[in-house]
Amino acid sequence: MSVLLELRGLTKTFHGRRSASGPGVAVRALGGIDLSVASGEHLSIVGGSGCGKTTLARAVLGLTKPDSGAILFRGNKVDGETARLRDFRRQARMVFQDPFASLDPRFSVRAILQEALCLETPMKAAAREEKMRTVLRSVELAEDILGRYPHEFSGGERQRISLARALMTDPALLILDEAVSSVDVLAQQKILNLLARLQARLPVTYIFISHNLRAVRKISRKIAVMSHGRIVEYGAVADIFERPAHRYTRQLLRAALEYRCEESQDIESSNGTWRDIGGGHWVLSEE
Amino acid sequence: MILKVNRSTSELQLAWCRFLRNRRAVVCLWVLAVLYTGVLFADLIAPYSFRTEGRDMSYCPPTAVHFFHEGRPQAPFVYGVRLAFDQYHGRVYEIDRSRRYPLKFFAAGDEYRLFGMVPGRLRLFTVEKPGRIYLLGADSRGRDVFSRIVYGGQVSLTIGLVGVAISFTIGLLVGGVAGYFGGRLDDVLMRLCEMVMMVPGFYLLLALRAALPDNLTSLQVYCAIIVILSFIGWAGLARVIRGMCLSLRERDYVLVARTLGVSQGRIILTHILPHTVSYSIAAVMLSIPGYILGESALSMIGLGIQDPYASWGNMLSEAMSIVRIQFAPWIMWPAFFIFISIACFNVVGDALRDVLDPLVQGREDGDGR
Repeated sequence: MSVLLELRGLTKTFHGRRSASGPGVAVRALGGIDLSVASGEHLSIVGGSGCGKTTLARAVLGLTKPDSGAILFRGNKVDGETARLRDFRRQARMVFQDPFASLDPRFSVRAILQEALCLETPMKAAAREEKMRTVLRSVELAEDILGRYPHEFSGGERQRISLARALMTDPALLILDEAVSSVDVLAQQKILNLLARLQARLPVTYIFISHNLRAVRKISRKIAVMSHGRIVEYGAVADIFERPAHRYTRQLLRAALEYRCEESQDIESSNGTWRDIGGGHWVLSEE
Repeated sequence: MILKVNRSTSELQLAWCRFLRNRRAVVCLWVLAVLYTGVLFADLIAPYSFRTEGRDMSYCPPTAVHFFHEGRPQAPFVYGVRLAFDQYHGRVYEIDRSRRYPLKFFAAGDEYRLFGMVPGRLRLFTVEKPGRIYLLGADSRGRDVFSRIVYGGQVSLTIGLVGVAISFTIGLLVGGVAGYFGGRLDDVLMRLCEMVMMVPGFYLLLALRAALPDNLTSLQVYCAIIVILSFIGWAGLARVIRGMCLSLRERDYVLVARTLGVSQGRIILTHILPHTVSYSIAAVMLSIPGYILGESALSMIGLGIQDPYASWGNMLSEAMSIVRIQFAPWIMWPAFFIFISIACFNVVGDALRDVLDPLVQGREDGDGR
């Protein structure tokens, strides 16, 4: 399988606002991320709040400028050159966490979907309309909602509209940032099933960012565990769930699946070396 | 009021429905609509041109319209008046019951060009010459105060709208750009705003007017006043809009638009500025009175619209002497119209702010104003 997206040594540190009392606090959100995602892959990135998952997604899509490192899409660097960036923007789409915040309340569904086409070559009105209807069908929404506004929809429906917007340009890469965590469990299940069906039909690669380990276990094939801005463990779903190698992963799994948590085990996994413990299961070993 | 949602309603439509429940504001909006319609068709409504003088009728008191003559009903008419002197040798106007002038509706009067183009003579009402009708009295040169108020409104009421349109365009763009891009650009633009805001408004008005030549035509003066008022008005708005944009640019839908590759100018115009609309609409309504007052103040002290052209402000310059107000209180009428229009703009602006600000929406659902 060819590599679709490759991240090399991505770092990002947020600096607090400097004040008269001294320099602000620096927070390291990404501490050197190396990751490659194969075409057609379904990768999940899991980790606790504040571990840098969202920063990673934003950095990939150019919303946050990384301090150093490179993003390669189909082997080409995407920063800088505009033609390549435009192509990347058409190919890589993101669905945000909050379905109530990611749709502009003043835009009708039609305007929302049309906006996604802004980089495409202009097409005829009829063709555009047909495209929108097709995409709405594919996310299992009625076709006659084009004239309606976001506040008329439930959270689950809005998330499908977001998904439809992301699918308008037939992207190769879809980043779903906690895309199901703010809707109820039934709607979650429906969207997860939908994502699985879509992937069966379209050549789309998912990066699924979540802290919902049950969902991750069900739908993804690979998992990357993040902690304190580093990826601490990477491997196939079964490997990670059956023999978690990193201390943080074990802690996370125990908390998620058995609702147990050991107190005072904050793991600072800033340094270490990568070790392959068999079958493409990598772990950052603590020295 | 129950809102029927049988078709899709946008946020603004919902806000409009809430606005209609505020009866006081709706009444004020109607008053404004009447005022603006009136000044738009000033040529038809005013019985005389703003410059038609009657030197022998100086400070003639308001003319009463009569429907009975010697106990018998008649078509509406006015009596003639005669200038006389009382025992203190003061000028008084006596009603001359021997002369009657019937009101003529839709009759030919002074010539005009409607909207500056269509020539016409048709007036809504007038009386046969040599009779004159002064609904709100006459000024020092015997010009009809009512007609001059209607024509003066063309200046006083539009200066607010045009001025606001200009200053808000500048304010929105400067605020939007400063807030969205931030950084050095933001610093420079905001310091510029502060410099404009630092200078006391009225003195800046005087200074700017003084900097312009004084032999301008009335149209040039009109434009100059608008430019001067707009120059003062944009800074305050830019600051507020900039603050709103700082938070709006972090909204998810703005980030989404960026990942979609929407250009930054378009993001500002479609995703950022429309969300400041609720604030801006109310701010527009609440700042128009400032323009009306500014024009009035300039014209009243003789720096604005010049005689014979009318504006509510320069009509009031006659009312600067207490003796004249005692002798002819009706020359204060323009002040009443200034008051009414400003009060209406404020009530409507307040109501709009209430219905457009999402934070206070829960509050006014309870009371059925």
